[in-house]
Amino acid sequence: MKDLVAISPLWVSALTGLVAMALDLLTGSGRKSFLAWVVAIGLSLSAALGLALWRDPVILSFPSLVAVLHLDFHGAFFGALVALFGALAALLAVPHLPEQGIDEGETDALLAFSAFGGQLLVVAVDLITLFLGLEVLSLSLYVLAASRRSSPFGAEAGLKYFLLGGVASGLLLLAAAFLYGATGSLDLRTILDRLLAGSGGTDPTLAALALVLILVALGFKVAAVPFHFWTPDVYQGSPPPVTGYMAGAVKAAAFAVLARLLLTLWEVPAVAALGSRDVLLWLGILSVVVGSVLGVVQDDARRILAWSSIVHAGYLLLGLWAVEPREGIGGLWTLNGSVPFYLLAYGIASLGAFGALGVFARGGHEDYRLARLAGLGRGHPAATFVLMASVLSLAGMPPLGGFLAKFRLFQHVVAVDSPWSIPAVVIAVLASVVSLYYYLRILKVLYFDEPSEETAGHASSPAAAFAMAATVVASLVLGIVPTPFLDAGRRAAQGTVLAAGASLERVAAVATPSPAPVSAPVRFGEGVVPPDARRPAPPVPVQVIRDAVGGYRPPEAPLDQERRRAPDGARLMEVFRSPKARP
Amino acid sequence: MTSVPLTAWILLSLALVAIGIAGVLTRRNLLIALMSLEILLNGVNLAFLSFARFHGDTTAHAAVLVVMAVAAAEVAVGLALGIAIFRHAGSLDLDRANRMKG
Repeated sequence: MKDLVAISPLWVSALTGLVAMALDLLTGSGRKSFLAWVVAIGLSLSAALGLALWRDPVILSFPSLVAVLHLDFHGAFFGALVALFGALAALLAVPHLPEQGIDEGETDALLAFSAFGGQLLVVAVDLITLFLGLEVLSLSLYVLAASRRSSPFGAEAGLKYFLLGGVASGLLLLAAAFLYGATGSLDLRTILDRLLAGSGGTDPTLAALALVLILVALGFKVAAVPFHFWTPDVYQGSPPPVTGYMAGAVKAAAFAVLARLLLTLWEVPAVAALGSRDVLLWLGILSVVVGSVLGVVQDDARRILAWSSIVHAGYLLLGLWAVEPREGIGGLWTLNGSVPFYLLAYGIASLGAFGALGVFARGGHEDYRLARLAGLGRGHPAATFVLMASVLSLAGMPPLGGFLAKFRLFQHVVAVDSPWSIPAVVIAVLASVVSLYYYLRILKVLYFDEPSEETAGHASSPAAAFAMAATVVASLVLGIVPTPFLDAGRRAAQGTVLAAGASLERVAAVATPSPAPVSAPVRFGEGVVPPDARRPAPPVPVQVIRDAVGGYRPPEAPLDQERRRAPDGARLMEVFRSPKARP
Repeated sequence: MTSVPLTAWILLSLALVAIGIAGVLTRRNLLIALMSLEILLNGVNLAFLSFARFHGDTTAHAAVLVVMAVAAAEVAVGLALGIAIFRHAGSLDLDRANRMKG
């Protein structure tokens, strides 16, 4: 029961999807806009539950399912991003559905399932749960991308996304197989422990190979160059609100898990030596340059935004490259706090942009070429304003959230101790200027060009209007009072590396040979039994863990490992009890 | 009966994965592309099972069952997309379905 409460954010989203399907069946045909509200409320509830419940790190394992979840603020933050983006997308999609002949409620249910997948992905500890989360997220999106059944582009977009996404998932699975082969475990914490200990036939080469595969697979999902070919076509063919969700939520979830996997593997010196961190730098610069240059020559607003999404993936990769030393807990690096904030600002802006763009569709035949958009701004002042605010936030204009996100991210990149940190930022800033050209081009066409023909667009609906207003307000809030969100981002970033949980267990095993009693002053989370006691058959016996600790602290430890030396148990517990009190 | 070394199993599974990727990226028929995706996933399954045998551990067996279920779901989605493509293009030829360029 306590467990059920602890994972309630997950099942609330899944249940929301099921409820949406059931209501859809029960209500027969007709307007189904209330389903969007059901899904929006359900997903918002799930996000709120996550933020309320997942504070101190708790590890839940379900032995019969081989599923291990790590519930902490990292999962809460990224899960909330995915769920809230899903809620906004459901509302934004309302005016689209009747015109496209897809007013059947499946869009809403699929958005809820997809959000569930994303939430599962960011809390998964074992690689199979992680794969399952990724597939639930992706499979729902393949269908959503193809949901414009009347248009041949819809099916084509879905198919392209499906085939390339399927290969990417397969590669991620292969990475999981390699990590299993290297260590004999699918649990990320055990994998890390065994790699650090170098015991039991572990093989850092296989782990480094897995690291490359992870980079390729998740590079596909976040649309980083050179794994980006699908992006413009899929963004063009999918319904705009779905595209906004695809851009915001998939990037958020994929970057969260990419950061977790890469940083966890980099904890192992042997792996870090084989798989260089600078790959992220090169991929980031490549994405930024290619995305901003090729965006200039597009003439379809959705393709422009697709290339912009590739540019943003590049910025985020640079942000991921600019890791911070981890303080307080044994470990090397953690994600810097600007990346979660950036994902929040970017997701909101792209949902706003695509949602507003959707308003300009005409009579079921969606055409977003710039020539057709000419002068439509006068007929739809509100939607054009939303588009302007979102696009300027994407471009990084103050006082919107995108400006601050970009500024913070570049600050972190500059601070990296590398000869490439300054050139990288210079390139990124120049690319921002180039991409500003195509952002402003959309606005210029909408406001200043003469209308080509009739200017009828969608009649918007209250739901979509509400969601669009929410994105503008959120962008402004992020730009004007960013402090709480920046703090939240920093706390979320602190939980990226699971070594926090693993080193906790390591230290607990050394300090107290028997599993910690439930009545101990340590609070692992309300009513949840400490991880050691919960696991009936721990994959690594306590003895082995103790050996591991002894093993990875050799006397000739290099400087890096000096910092890894675990603090004494009591202090570590304190660190976990109050995340805010960390130095 | 002599046992086949782990390396051979892994090389076989990598070959299957490579065949799968090449098939998805180069074959023009959607059904063959779907089959290639299956070959890819089954190659990974083989790697899982070989490693499980090597480690004397059964965790990966559960993983393989999960993967098989996911692969079935993936094929279901793929076939549904194939029907959608067929309605518009009149064939399952991926080149003819490819209309968006740029």
